[in-house]
Amino acid sequence: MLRFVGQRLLTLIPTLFAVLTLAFVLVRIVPGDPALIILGDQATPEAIAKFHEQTGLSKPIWQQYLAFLTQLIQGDLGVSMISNRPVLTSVLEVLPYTLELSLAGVFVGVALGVPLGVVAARSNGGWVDWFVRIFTLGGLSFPAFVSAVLMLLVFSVMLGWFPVIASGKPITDPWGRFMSLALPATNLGFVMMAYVARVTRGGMMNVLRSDYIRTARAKGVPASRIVWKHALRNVLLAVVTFTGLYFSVLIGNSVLTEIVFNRPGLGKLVIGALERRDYTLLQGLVVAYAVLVVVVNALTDLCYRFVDPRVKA
Amino acid sequence: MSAVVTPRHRVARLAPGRIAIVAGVAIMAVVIFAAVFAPIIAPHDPYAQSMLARFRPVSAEYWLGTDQFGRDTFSRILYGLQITLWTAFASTALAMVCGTAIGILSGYHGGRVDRWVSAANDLLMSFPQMVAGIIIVALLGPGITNLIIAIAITAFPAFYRMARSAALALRERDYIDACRVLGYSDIRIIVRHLLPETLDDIIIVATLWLATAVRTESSLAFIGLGAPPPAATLGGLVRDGFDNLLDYPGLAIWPSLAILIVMIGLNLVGDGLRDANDPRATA
Repeated sequence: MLRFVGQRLLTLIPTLFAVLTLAFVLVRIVPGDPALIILGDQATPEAIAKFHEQTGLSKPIWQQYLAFLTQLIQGDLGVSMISNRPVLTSVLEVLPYTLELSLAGVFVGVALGVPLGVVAARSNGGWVDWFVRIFTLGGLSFPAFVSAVLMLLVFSVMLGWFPVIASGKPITDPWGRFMSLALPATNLGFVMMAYVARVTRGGMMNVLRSDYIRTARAKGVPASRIVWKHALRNVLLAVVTFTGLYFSVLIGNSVLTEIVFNRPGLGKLVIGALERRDYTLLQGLVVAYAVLVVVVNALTDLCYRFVDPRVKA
Repeated sequence: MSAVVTPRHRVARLAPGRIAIVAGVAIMAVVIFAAVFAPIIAPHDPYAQSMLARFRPVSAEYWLGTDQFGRDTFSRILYGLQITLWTAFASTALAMVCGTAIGILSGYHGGRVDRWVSAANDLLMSFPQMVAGIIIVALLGPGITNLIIAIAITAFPAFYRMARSAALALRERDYIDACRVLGYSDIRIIVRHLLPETLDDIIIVATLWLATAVRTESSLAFIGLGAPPPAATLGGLVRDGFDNLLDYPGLAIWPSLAILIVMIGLNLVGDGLRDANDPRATA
């Protein structure tokens, strides 16, 4: 097992390397000199030269790249061009909020989607199946910001159940933190639920046709036990795969959710960095996002091994 | 017990795929009509501001009310539909052509080229699509063409993977071998024999990605990275409405509904096509 984990982690290295290079290139192909954008059109040549000196932009590109990599290996993402704060500090400050939101979103999505899919598969063409089908089609059709705005309007403004400005509460206020998380997480989960329900339904239909289910049925195992115990275990594999693949969509949706609910997080940081043209912060955020997705993909693979002992290598 | 065994119920015979396609096409026909004939249908100039007509409620003159500059919401939604639909169709078409061409070539050719292109594609996929879209638009600068390019880049991997795996599977078939023995050129084999085989799947992916493109476009517009003002975009309208959510919720609700209608229409068509093509899905 340890060997498998080790091997999987080793395969991460080339991917991460490529991602880091892309982040480096991406930020440098931006048209325009960041010095002019930050210092303004009126900047004197001396000021521009000084800025280039400070940010390392005066060095040849390969030296910049080497410096970027050596800094990264030491866990240093550089300092913000605008505020001079270390980028890593800014990222780590808000990362817990984004992680918390994403995980809660996955939880809501799976907790609602799986039962919905199972019920639909059991109904198979009946009216429950139709209802789930239409319901999930609706779920698939909501861009995350539309559902977020409508949820905010209904549950916070009209009904007043949740705070209108759900900005992150400190951990010392667990109830406040939960209340400010509930609506944004439901928003992420609502869209995900639709996909999970469909994956579960499709998987369930396939599994229910297999021989071991027929055997179980022949033995007289009650139908609900067959579905919820024997079949569901196999379907969950598909759900795990899907969750891994979906994670990058979920992260994208979390950007929109953070904006609407005014939550701190990576998404808000990206928008802020873009508005202020803070390229070093942007570069650090691109790295953070890519690392997040790559790590989650690796975790999904590891998850397989735990859910299904048959998966080897 | 019967719930587990019965393979097919009465309702399923109505062929859900076909109903979905008909409903989806009908919705999209109305939406496209409204967008194309927006200049004729729109009761007001979408850009005309009037300080005397700010925040008007729904009325016979202003069907969906007016915004903070006195502009007619209904007219603005119609013009927003134009931008949304054009961006979605253009970006999906661009991604479809490029993704399919490179995917088929890569899969058919195989070897080192295929490995490198696939690796580059995987790299593109390791960025969250929405985040990639935001960064690409921000780097390219505002403008509809840049928006189309950015959305096409985020949609590229879906078509690439689809076309590549199809080409990989097909190139081992006997009839393709036969083509080679007959001395057909690679181009002829790809265009005349591989492409038609993969076209069904690619069109289904394209309809489903149209919905995703609409989602991406409106999301970017909501963030403020859509078509630059004064153009009316659906996402931008929601954004403006969101700023006045407490006092005038309608301004956010109407464009939201417009986006939903487009999304549901496209998803119905895509879903229906997929079902109609895959008998297992409804069985």
